[in-house]
Amino acid sequence: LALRRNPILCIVDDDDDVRSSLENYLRAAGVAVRTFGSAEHFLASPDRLEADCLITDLHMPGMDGLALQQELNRIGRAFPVIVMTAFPTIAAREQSAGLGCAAFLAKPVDPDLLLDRVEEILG
Amino acid sequence: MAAHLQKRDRVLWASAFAVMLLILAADALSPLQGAVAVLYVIVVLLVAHGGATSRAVLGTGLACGALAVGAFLADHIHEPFNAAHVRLGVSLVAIAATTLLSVEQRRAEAERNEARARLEQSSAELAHASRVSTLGQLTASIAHEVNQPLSAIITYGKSAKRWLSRDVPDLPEVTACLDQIVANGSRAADIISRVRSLARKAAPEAEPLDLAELAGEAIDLVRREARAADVALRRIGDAQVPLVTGDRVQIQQVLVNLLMNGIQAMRDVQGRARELCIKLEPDAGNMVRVAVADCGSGIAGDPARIFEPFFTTKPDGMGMGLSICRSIVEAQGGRISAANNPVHGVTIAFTLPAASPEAP
Repeated sequence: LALRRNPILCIVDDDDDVRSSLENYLRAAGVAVRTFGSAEHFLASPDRLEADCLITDLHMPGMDGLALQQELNRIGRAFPVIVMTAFPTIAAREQSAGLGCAAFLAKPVDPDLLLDRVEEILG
Repeated sequence: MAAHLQKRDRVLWASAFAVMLLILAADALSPLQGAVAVLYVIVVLLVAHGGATSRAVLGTGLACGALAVGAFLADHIHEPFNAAHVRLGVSLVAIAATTLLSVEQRRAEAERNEARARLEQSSAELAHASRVSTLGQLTASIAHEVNQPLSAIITYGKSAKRWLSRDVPDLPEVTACLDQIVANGSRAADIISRVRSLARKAAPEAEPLDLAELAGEAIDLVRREARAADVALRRIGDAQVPLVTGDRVQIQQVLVNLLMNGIQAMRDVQGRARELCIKLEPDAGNMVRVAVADCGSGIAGDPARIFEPFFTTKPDGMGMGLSICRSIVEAQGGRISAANNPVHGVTIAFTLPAASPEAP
C-alpha cells in the first residue's frame, strides 16, 4: 500500500452491517479504520478534526450526510470526504460536489473500488 | 370437514329412507289408504331441511308421490271413483305443494350462499389488492433493506479473500467474515419471506398469533420508511399478552397499514419530535388491544370517519386502507377505533380475541 504515514479512515453509516463489513475489509487491506453509527457521534469525537479521510452515508436518521459535510466545512475540515449513498440522485451528487466531496459512490459500494479511490485520494 | 359432511348426509338419507318405508307400510296396511300418504311430506321436509340440493328435494317429492300412487293402485286399481281417490288426491296435492315450496326455499338458500361466497371472495381480493398497494409504497424501502445485507455479503466475501491471501492467512478473521456472510444472507432471506407472505393471496385462515412478534415484523418492514420521514418508532409497555386468533397475513396488513398511516400523518410536523408509539396490552373481555399513537395534527371532526371508505386526508390517498383494516379486524371478531390524543395526533387501536388456552 502506498498510503502515507498510517492514515486514519473514518466511516459514518447508520447500518451496522454496512459499517462493520467495510471496517473489516479495510482492516484486511491494512488500513486503520474508525467507525461511527451517526454523524453526531463522529462530530463528538476528536476525529472530526484529526481524521485523514471520511467516508459517510448520506441518508441517516438525525443529522444526514449533507448536514455533516456542511458542519465539517464550518469547523474547518482539512481532510477529504467520500460520500456513499443508496439514493444517488443528481441533486444529491451536485449538493455534495458543492460541499467539496472528493468522491461520490452509489451503494452497494464495491469495496475494491472504494479502496482504489481512497488510495488515489490519499496517495 | 368433508368427511364429517358426508357422514351427516348418509345419516340424513338413511333416516329419510327409513321414514319413507314406515309411511309406505302404514299407508299400505291402513284402512284409510291414501290419507296416510300425506305423511310423505315429512320425508320431503326432512330431506329439504337436511340441506339437500333443490334437485334432490324434487326427486324425493316425485318418489313419494309415486309410492303413494303405487301403494294405492295395488289395492284400489279396479275400484270405481270414491272417497279413497279423493284422500289420495289431497295427499298428492299436499306432497306436491310441500315439494315445490321446499325446492324454492333450497334454491333461494343456495343463491344466498353463493352471494355470500362471492362477497367473501371480493373482500379477500380487495384486502390483497390493498396489501400489494402498500407493498408498492414500500418498494424503495424493501429494495434498500435487501440491498444492505447483499452489499455486506459482497464486502465480507472480498474481505475474506484478503485475509486468506496474507503471508500468514488469518483464519479467525476469515471465519468471522464467513459467519457474517451467513448472518447477512439470512437477513436478506427474512426480508424476502416477509414481503412474500404479505403479497401472498390466500383465503384467510384463523390461527393462534403472537401479536408482539407480528408487531416486530411490521416495524421491521416500515423501519426505513420511518427513518426517511424522521419518525422514531417506539414500542411501549411490552407487557406479556396472550396469543390471539386471526389470519396472520391480514393482521400483519393491518399493523403495517396503521404504522404507515401514522408515519404519513406526521409528515407536516415541525418543531417537535415525530414519534410513533405502538402499545400492546390485554383488554377487557379476553381481548388483546393494539394501539398505534402518532403525534400529527389529529383528525378534524369525528375521528371514526377515517374508517369510512374513500375518506382520506392525503393528497395521493385513496381512502381505502383504514376501511379495509376495519373489515379485517371486525371479520376476526375484533373492534377498531380512533380517538384524538389530548395533546397531539391520533391513536388508532384495535382489539382481537385472545386464543382459547387449549388451542395449540
